[in-house]
Amino acid sequence: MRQYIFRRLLQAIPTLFGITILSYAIVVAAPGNPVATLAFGPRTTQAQKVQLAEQLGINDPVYKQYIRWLVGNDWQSFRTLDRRGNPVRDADGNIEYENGTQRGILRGDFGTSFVSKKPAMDVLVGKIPATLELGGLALLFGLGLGLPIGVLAAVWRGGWFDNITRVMAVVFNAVPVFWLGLLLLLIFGSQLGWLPMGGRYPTNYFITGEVTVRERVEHLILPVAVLSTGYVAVFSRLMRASTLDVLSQDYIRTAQAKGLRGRQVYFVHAARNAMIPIATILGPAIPGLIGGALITETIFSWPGVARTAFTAVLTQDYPVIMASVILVSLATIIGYLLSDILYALIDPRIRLS
Amino acid sequence: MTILEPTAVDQNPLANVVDLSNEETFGKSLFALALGRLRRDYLTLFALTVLLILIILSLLAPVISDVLDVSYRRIGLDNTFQKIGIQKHFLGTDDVGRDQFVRLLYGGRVSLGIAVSAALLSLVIGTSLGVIAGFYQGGRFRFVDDVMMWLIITLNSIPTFFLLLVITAMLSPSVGTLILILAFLSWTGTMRLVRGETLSQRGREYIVAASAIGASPLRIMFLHILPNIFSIIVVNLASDIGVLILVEAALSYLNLGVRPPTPSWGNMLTNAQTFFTKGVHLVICPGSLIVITVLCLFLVGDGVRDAFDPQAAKKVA
Repeated sequence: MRQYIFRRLLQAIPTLFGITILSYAIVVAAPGNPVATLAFGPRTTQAQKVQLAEQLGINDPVYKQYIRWLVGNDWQSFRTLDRRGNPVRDADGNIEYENGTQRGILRGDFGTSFVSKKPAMDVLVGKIPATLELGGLALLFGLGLGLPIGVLAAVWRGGWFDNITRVMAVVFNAVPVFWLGLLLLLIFGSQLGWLPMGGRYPTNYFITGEVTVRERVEHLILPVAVLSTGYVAVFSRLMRASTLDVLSQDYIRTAQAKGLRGRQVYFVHAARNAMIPIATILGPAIPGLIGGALITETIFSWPGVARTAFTAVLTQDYPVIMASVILVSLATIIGYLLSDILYALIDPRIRLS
Repeated sequence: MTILEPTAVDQNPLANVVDLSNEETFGKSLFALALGRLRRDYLTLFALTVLLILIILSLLAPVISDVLDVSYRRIGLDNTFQKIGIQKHFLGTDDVGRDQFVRLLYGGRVSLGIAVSAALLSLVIGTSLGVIAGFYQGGRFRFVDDVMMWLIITLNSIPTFFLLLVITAMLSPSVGTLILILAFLSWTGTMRLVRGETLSQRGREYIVAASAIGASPLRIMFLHILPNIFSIIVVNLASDIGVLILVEAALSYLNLGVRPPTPSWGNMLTNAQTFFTKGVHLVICPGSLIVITVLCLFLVGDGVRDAFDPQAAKKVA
């Protein structure tokens, strides 16, 4: 098992490498001069801009700039330039040098956010709890509702429950996430006034710092509902198919012949084995979750990673954008990895092949 | 709701189609059989009809707006937030007094046009790359396949919608560029499918025969293998278009896809939250149209797949 995990970890390295190339390429391809963007601000002096261009190596080939972005430039020294771009000389006429200041993303330095002037990664990492709260609950609801629905649909195959859930699954697949969110807001927030229109905490939390459990739950209901509908649809269909496969096997007939209750046979004996294939789609479910979270967090003003990334995209905050691409991809890769390991744990045949 | 995620379709869905013992199907071509089955599938036919009506209405948008004497872009500030059915405005007017009905039709042209062209383009990219990668897998030129698989794994490790968002925000694309971006990020599913199929065709006798008489690799790939796997590719087209409509709508909703004043079903909802009190119909109509269109596309997609592979249809039911 340890060997299997190690092999999977090794396989993730070229993927991560590809992701860094891609996210750097996006910024290179973006219109505009990086120095102008990086040094935008009323207090930046001309000399600072010139120095920045020197350190970024604007005239170097792109691959050199990329490597510098990866491993930093604090091991290099650069000429100190004056504001015209000429090297500064000391009293003896020797050129003055200074060390680079970037530590590179491999050592966790993603640069400083243009907007908040904080380290780019810190801006995002601070938002992770909010996103985990939303995404985790959505996944939990998706599984908690989807799996039982799938088992029941398989047991009552061809019956009204099976047909209704099938139609619902197809319809919900065709509903845009953002529109579903808007409709729920319109009905429960605007028309009925039962639930808040968005946010994670009520407004007075920011004054008093107090929030009740009830208020937190109220703020969670709509976003979690929007984010989990897709999962209920997908998980219920998959669970139905895999339960149908299991139900025709001998050990189920044995369980029934022993006179066990239907509930026991279907939800304990059958469901346990039927859940194995579900482990494989938990990994691929994560990119979908992030795409959904982007829209859900935007509609419901949920202060999470996805919304922060979206704001960074709109304000062209390059360091935060690149950090978010890498953070989100890391989450995806870890998700795939965990789901593979989970699958190998449940089903020993996978490890050996 | 899952957006452009890879599907596990590396097996041939057509394996069981030709049943030699059955007199009814014996001697008929694959497409003739599929067409015959499709003709009896009323749900699919209904969905197809709805789609056709929508397409025709969208194409006739200029004529319809002339007949109704309304414009999709004429602003009338004395005429905002009209309710449904008032005067000549079928579906009311929006926040700056433009007629919603014709705007929906023009939006349909944009949304459908983008989704269809992007789906076709991604089909071309995915198919060509898939055939090439599958053909060279494991051989002397195996690096072609290795590089492509690495590219695909990398692309699939970044949530596609997130990548789309970043790219569209950076480039502020025109409609044409948007089609290109959508196509370049959505070919991986087709590519995997085609690659798997090519792998299974590669070892067959007719390929050995073709290469024995000296056919070039390109000729074998695109004149011999491609026609034999073509039906599997087309089967996914309708649902791919549906997914792309959803993606384009979400992007345009976030104001990153089709930019106003060009209407699309997505960007007509951009300010929906501010319409909650004044014009609920402005929230309901564009969204319902997206749901109806995508639902019909998914139904047609399922119907076509079942027509090509009746065994799979039985398995699901």
